[in-house]
Amino acid sequence: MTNFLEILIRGLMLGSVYALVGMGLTLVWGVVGIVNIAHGEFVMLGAYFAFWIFSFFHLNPLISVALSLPFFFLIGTMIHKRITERLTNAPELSALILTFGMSILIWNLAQFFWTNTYRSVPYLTGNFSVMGLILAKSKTVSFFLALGITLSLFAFLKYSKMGKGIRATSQNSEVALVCGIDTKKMRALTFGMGIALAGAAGAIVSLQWVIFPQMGGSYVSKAFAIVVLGGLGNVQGALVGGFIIGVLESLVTQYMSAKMAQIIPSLIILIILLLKPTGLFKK
Amino acid sequence: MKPCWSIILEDKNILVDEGKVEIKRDNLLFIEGLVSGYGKMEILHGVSLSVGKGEIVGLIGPNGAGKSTVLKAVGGLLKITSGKVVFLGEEITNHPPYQIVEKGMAFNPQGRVVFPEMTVQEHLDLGAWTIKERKQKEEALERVYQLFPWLREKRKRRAAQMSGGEQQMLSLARAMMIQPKLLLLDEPSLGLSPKWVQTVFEKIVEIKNSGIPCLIVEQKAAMILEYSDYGYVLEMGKNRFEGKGHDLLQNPDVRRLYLGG
Repeated sequence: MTNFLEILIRGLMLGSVYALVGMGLTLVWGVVGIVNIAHGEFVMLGAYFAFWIFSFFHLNPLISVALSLPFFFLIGTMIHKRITERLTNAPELSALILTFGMSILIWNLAQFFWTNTYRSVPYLTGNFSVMGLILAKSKTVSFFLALGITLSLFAFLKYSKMGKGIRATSQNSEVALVCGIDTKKMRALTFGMGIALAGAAGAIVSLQWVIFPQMGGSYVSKAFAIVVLGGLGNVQGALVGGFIIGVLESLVTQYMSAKMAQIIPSLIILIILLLKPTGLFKK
Repeated sequence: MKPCWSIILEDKNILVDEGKVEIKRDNLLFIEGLVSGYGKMEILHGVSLSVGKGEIVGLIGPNGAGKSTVLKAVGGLLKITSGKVVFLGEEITNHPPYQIVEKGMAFNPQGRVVFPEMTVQEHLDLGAWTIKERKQKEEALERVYQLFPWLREKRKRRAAQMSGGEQQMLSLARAMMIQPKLLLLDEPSLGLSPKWVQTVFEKIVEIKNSGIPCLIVEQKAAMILEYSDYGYVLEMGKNRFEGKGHDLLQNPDVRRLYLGG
């Protein structure tokens, strides 16, 4: 029983990080209308961001997580203004092709500059022991970081003026315009936030797993499953979706095999699209 | 049968009272030679109209005449390639929508007019997006709740849970949050039951009587002309007729062509 509980908690912890990636993807997809295939590459860049800061400046990785948010937010808004803004009224296929190209470009550059060497951030090793449960320190800290970022995002979207503007843009951009909302700015902000979430997730990931240039692929496929589970543009849905994927992965890894766990995202996308294409939480 | 271009080439017909050369109107909104459209597709080929103080102005015409396009161009949602729009004595041609809203022009677009997942309260907050002062915002809210008292009880209700008529009224309330100097309405009767159409129009008259002029695009031509102080008939992106609402209703050509006999 303790073992089962441990696996469950491990799954939730895993899921909280997946949720960060998924929320970024769903937010950008829902508000900006761009399906960002390159989303996983920003997770990879976030991981390297934390790694290099740790190697060069020996800064505590927790600080890199905090730094990754504004850093990747700036990168995201810049990419949107220079590149993806022109996709605003373009067909979805254009966005797919452009971001697919961007994805290939980014991980190849990463491979070129940083080689295929597996790297990791040696920080927070060892375990916590809480009420008979043994939990890896790095994963526990990651969980609370991810949860903190998630709750701040929810509060921002629900209560702040900008958050309301972003939701308005996503629900009806024409009415948002006539309210006097600068929807172009809202889209740029949202794109920045999406990339910031991916980057922060990457920085958190670097605390617990090895990092390498092609790591983005597995995150983006999980993120797609999360978006499908939670419903397009539904940020709360993405959190639940993240937890579901994390727990399933944890259970399958334990009771079947780690290889089987790899097919979960694709399986979920398939099942949900067949049975309930609007996601689990269609209001 | 006349070839279709002859209609375009004809001068627009201005219906005026006999003996008077023109009807004097104070211009609040003044549009001249408006050319606009979607991307490369030009819909308006030079439309001129004006809205005076305290007027309801009806804009009618067959489907595809460009009625909605006029409102979108004036509201800054579409690029104007030629012509000019003057509002309160200032040129606002091709200004971004938020600047136009700030100047006091409220726009109630056509069709899906609400944010489905937002509450009534959130709609009104968003309607006040351009208002910076907190006190002004609260006053606006109070004023709008007085105009639409039933919204106060439903302020926690999500728009998706409301009927089409309620949504249209909510949209009107949202537009009223900036205390507009001019209200643009694009087919406020669209998809509503006759009872709701009546209710919405009574509210529009109430708004007009409080001193806020309205420029209204309507498919229900006879009804809107009944309410209008002045009316314009568009056809194929150009002015076709204009005159006092009552005169247009009486005019045999307008009746035959646009009011179904």
